Amino acid sequence: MRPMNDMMYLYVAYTIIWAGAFVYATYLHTKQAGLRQELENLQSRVKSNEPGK
Amino acid sequence: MNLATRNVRMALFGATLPMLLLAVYMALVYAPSVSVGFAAPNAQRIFYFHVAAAWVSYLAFFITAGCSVVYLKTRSMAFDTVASSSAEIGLVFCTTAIITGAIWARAEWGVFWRWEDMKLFLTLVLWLVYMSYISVRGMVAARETRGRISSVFGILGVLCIPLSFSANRIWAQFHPTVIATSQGSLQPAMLAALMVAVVSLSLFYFCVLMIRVDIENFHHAVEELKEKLGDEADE
Repeated sequence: MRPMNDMMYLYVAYTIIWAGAFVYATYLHTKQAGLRQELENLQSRVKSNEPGK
Repeated sequence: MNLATRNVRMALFGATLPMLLLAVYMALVYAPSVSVGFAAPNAQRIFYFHVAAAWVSYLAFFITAGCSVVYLKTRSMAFDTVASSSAEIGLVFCTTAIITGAIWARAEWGVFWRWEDMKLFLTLVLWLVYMSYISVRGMVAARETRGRISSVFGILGVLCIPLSFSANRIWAQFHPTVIATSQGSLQPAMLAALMVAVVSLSLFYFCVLMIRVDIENFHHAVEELKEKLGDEADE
């Protein structure tokens, strides 16, 4: 086994693990923030539609 | 969200990052290289996160199955939400385990995959079962029907775990068995690195699970408010 190739597989695996974790966490965070914002907008619209407002 | 829940979340999020960094340090620096019995001693260090990811996927799928059982009994949507969130995260970890395993296999065996190895095959079956779970949820619009059908998938899927876990012990083919075999067990430093990797990825799983459950709850709240506001909100 060539030592450089052996190390390359290690780098590739760890890069995939951490890049994947970062992308997934960023995707979830973005989705959560978007939905929270949408929810707040809808809640304020519901309040403004209530009678007497 | 009350103060106690917020504090638990902050503590969990605060503990996860240092644990992940420690796990990387232990896997790459602290744990010794194993040159005996391995053609690729450096690539062998992939093992710590490969095994940890597989374990956490099992944990996630067990939580899915448990919550699915409770959902079918109680019809409480909260359990369906946790079950589906956990299944999605479990699938991410299972994918990680399969990809990292394939990279290690390329370094060690010269091929990415061996179809004849039952451990690899059954892990792929497990992945496909939970992929079906996610697909079914995407296809059924009615929330309760979706919950019922996917719960059955969630419960049946967990039956693959004992088979997938013990396949290398039963068939003893290509996939190595490294923990508590008749040939011995891991060196203490390697076992410590593995345990830290398992704990850190488990903490990461619980962090992601909380965020994923939030997303699902926000999504349902948005849908309900949109229904309340009628077509005007969809514009």
